[in-house]
Amino acid sequence: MNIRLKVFLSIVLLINLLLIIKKLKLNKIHIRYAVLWIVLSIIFEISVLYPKIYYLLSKFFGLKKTVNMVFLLTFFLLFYLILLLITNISELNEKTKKLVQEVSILKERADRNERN
Amino acid sequence: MKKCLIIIPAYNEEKNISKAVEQLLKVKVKNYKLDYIIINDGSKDSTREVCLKNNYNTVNLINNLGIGGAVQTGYKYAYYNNYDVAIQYDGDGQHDPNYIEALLKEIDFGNNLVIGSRFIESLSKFTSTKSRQIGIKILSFFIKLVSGVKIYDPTSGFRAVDKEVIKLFYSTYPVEYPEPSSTVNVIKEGFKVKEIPVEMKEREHGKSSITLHKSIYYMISVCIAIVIDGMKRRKKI
Repeated sequence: MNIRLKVFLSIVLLINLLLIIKKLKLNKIHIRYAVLWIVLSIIFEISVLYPKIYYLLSKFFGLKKTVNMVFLLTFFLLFYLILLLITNISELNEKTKKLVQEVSILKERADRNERN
Repeated sequence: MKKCLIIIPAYNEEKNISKAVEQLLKVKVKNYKLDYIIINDGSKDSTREVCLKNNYNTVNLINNLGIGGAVQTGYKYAYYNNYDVAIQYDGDGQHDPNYIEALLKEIDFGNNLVIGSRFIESLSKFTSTKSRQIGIKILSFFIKLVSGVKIYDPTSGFRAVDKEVIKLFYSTYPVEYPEPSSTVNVIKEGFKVKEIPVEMKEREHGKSSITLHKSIYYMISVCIAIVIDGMKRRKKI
């Protein structure tokens, strides 16, 4: 791996990390999601410093090109992230449903009391 | 005197709702005090105004929740107001309120969930398309598979439940395609389910919520939902 590419990728990852920390400070994202991204940044940085890991992995699985190993792992990572998002959306839906139901029932009761 | 709540979910039913309620108000059942509540699921037409004008008991949902969320609101209302029995009754005039007494009688006999079925006997002249009959047969088969109980009309929205099941539906009720899925839940919890034959009419105005091009998607989702419900472990009551 070219040293210039290594430096460039490390800088990008550092900026990424700073961005996440800034968002955390401003309370724009929750810590439970930020943790994941911070851990991922560290894993990415390790990959940049020791790309040999991927070479060995691809050799182990019999892939001809090392880059395919990277793509495959990225695909799994993205799949997992989307699953995480879907889970969260479903949770939010459930919470909104509950809120709508309770508020609507309360409103009905308030209207009825007003009329009587 | 037992208290019974009739839950009428309504979405864009301005043309049907007053007829459905007026028919309902004529019904009297011995030993039961019948109340009703319309759950207006954020209708875009004038359902809300019609209900207000006629002074109907209505919960207007502040957001559209879909049929499952709307019906569950009714069960929550029943739970909070301490009703003994709750009956689901469609606001589109498909259900015949004269069968309410028959449903309540089965509840009195100790059944926890009573389903008004279109297919249990040939009493009903409900003309449904061949594809819908096949669909319902498939759902029946899956329910029998996971729960061991034969339900002839799993999609029927004309059902009565007792206090225990009100409590169950208060805490968990499926959001989408709720009838088949919730029936499996009820059986899995160890409650007694009974089907009785009822007549149903075709809707007079408006469209059914299930359109043809959605039906394949519907079948797949409901079958998956039933199988998943079947895999859930029975909780201790």
